[in-house]
Amino acid sequence: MNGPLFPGELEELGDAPRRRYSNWIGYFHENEVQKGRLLAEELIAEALEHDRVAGDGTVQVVGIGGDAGWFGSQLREEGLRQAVAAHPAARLQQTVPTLWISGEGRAMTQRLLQRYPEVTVVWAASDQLALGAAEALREFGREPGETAFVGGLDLSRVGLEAVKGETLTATVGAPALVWTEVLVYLYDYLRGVDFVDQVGTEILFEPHLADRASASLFAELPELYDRIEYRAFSMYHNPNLEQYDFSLERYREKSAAASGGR
Amino acid sequence: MKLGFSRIAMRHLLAIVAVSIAFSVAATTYQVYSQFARGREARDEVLQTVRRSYLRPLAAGLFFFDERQLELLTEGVVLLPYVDAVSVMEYRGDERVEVASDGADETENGARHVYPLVHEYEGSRREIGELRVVTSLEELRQELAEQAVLMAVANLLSILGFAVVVLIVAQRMIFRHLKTIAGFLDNLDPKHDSRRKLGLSRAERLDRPDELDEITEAINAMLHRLDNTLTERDTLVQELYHRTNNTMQSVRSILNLQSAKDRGNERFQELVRDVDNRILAMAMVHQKLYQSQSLSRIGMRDYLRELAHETHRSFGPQAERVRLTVEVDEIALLIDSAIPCGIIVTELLSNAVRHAFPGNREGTVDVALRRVEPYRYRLTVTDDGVGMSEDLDHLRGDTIGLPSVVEIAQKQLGGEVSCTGTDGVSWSIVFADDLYFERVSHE
Repeated sequence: MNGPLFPGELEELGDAPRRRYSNWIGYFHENEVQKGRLLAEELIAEALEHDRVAGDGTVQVVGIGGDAGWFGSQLREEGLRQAVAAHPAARLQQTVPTLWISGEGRAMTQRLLQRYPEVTVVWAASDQLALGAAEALREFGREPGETAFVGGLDLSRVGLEAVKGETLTATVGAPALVWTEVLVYLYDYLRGVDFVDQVGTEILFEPHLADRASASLFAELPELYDRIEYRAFSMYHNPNLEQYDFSLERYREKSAAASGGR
Repeated sequence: MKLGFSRIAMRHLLAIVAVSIAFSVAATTYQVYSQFARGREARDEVLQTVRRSYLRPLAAGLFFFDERQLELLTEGVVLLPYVDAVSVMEYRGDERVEVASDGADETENGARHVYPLVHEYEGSRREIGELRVVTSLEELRQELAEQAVLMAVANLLSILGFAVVVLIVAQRMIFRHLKTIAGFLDNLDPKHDSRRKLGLSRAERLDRPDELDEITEAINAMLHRLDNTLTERDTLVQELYHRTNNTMQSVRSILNLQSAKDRGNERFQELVRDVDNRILAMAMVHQKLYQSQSLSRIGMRDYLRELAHETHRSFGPQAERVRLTVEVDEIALLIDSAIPCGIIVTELLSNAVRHAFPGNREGTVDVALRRVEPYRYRLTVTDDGVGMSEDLDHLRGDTIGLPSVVEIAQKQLGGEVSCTGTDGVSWSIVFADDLYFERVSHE
């Protein structure tokens, strides 16, 4: 089951897989708090590096959140708050919820800039929202990457392109390769090899930050995804494996081998 | 049913209507004022509801730019009673920008209320805008004005209806009886209705007598006392007439006794007879008065007939040659006119018997009293004797004389005197009965 789930929802399901429902074998989700925190830290650092601070000497931050009806949105914003709280020179002015619509990113940024004219960091809960925010910044005479800094979550293709084009400062997320890991665990389980002994029933995928320097690397991952040899990661097919390994290096290694073998 | 409202009843009605209208106006004014005051309190409660229930979500909606929420909330506020318009203003630096509004565009007449929109975020209070509410009591005013008109009309109708009911009840219970009492007293003739009693036709029967019963009883008691008083008065007056008559009869007896002592003296005898006849005329008037029902008027037919014959008889054998006729209409004169009439008749009849038929001449003397017009009469004494000689000796007469007749007729009766005397003598006195008024009233 893909998460994250609200605590109440989790409680209704028995708090964890394989307790109330035996057929629920695993609960996997990305570390949304970490995603929000990573992006915020990067944006604040960039603003400080460019000395884009307000009259009170702080970096003023606003957040364009996602749908509050999804628990992940709240966790992402929690990451933002943790990053700001941890940074003495940063100040979170406000976050606003949205329904993930790109236009909302623009509209909300416009309103926030009207309310807080000294804002230099716009944190967005998705790449689409971040792109809309970048538009609004330009409309207000700001130059993303120079006088204001905006980034999104998702590690999406358009997000990565925008980072490469310096419209976005960064995009943070777990690459689509994590679905490989899920498929392998499920496959092995059905073949009688239970993943629970190695990774437990809750699988938390850590995020990756793609900035100007690493954006190209993350942009290549979808091609890698097409060439993945799933059996190479399966313990059922590789009984000699001591533990699962789904690192990017191993992906690259296995995909190169598959490509060479073709 | 013909009510025939009396004047006091109408004044009563007007007084009731006027006082009721005054009270109604005061009550309606107080009612309208109270409702308006309650309206103001209700408006204040609405504003309190806005403060209590709408400011927080509006502030949240504004803070998070939730236009849908702002739209719904402003719609909700403007639907509240007395709210004409509402707008949400966002602070943008020094500017105040309207981000949501609803209600009437023209809101110049209403009262304006401004509430700050404060949202608490991350432990700090953010004053991010304000809510402007325009309320108006104009609708309430119009509603109350319409209600006041309706209340006034309804009150007026109820007052009129009530007044008419009161009037009818008062008319039946009081005023018609007052009218009956007034009519009874107005038509009352104590002389003829002395036994009559006032009685009211009352449908209601009370255990204890009320004011109308007391008035009726008082009037009947007063009538009874009045009847006693009148009876006593009549008795006294009749007694007076009777005693006067007796006194005069005593005087006549004394005169006749004195005359009997000197029968040879004819002149003295005539003088006594003349005086006696005059006293007779006066005494007979009093006799008639105490014998009659009336205490001031005398039936002239009986009076003149008896007087003339008595006077005629007083001349003894001398009068046997003279025939007497007396013709009198059914006339009743006041004592003040009757006595002069009697004296005149006595005087003229005596003159005629004494002078009109000298020697053994026979003839007739006609005495008549006729009504020539209402309240105007003609007294005539006519003889067919020798007529008046030119020296008018008999006018001068041996007795009191005819000049005194003329004087009495003119001064005491106010009459017109005429006399013709060629073939016999004819005296005519025309007089009216309006020179005197009744001293004893029977009205």
